[in-house]
Amino acid sequence: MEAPPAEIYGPLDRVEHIMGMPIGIEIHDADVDPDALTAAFTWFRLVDATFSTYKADSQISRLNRGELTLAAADPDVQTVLARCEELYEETGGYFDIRVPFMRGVIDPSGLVKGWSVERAGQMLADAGARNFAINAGGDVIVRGHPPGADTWRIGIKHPFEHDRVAAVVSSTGGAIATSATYERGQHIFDPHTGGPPGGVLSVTITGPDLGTADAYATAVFAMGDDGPTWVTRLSEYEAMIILETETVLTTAGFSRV
Amino acid sequence: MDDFMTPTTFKRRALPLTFAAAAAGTALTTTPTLAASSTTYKGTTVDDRWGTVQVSVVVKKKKITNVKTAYAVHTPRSQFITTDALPQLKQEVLQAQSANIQLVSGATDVSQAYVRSLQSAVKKAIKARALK
Repeated sequence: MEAPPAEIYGPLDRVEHIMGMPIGIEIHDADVDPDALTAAFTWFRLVDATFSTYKADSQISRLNRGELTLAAADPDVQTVLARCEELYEETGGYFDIRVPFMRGVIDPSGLVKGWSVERAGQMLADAGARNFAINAGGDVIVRGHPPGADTWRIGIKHPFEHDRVAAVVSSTGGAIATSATYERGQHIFDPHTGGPPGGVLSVTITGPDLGTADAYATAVFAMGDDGPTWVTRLSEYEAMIILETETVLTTAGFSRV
Repeated sequence: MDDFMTPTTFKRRALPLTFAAAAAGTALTTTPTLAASSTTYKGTTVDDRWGTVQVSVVVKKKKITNVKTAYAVHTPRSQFITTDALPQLKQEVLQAQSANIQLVSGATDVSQAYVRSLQSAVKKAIKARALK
């Protein structure tokens, strides 16, 4: 499907379609140079060119075909893959970038999105932005506050009641990631069985880093019934898990990040 | 005024639709006796990947009494996506009496566009002093 052009709401407020999803950036500091916004989108296009498994000439595609060694890869690729390995260990193998049933093939996109959003956020902060939000396909970071309010308020999509949000999270600086069955079909697999996980409708993780929050959300979703116990171990991250029984499990600090 | 746009007559960026509502809002501030009747404030039209969304809030006696959504799709495929994402957040808006959510985690394009259009509709109503 052909992507539409950028949706421009103001010099510091724009949505572009990159990496197969809408990425929205809104900055609410009038003194920030609009070039900073453009630079952030340029960064996302570079990330796509480097990490996409859909682009034959990306570094990940070349690694997967054995045409590129990890040692010769871009330092950013090395950083991301090393972090993926840490998250694999940390989640007991539930965050796994190895593609099921395809020996030697990896797809790190589960970390790349959040990692690249955090880097873009740092670029904006370095350019003087204090109050902004980046929303990459429903995974969000915020800083400061929007105009006319003390904090950002982020609704969490309800898994099946479409006139409600399941919860609202307030934040003046943090990350919110949600994994669920309703987006793009059943796209999360239990790496231990290769099949879809059971029992969970959606997992939202909040915390300081979007890449980590997103990886945790993916892992907890794949854990199924074991997810709720696992999240109680986390120190800087909070969770909301909606079960198929329509039970909503929330850690104590969830509503504010 | 409140007719939903239909895919067959839809044209991208049909912005003039919002002008009449803005004018009605301006009139309301100078004639407070009209405050007992409901007035509709239309948000701006917002494009997303599959179509264009426009959210309106119906305001009566300084309260949001209804939230309406018009959605026009670019492709037939979208009809499956849009029908179930459209009324999202309506209940929240009626309860909170404001568009006090800026972003939606885990949401489709459609609901992000919905939030943006909704915010502009509420802003318009506040500017017209129909809402606090």
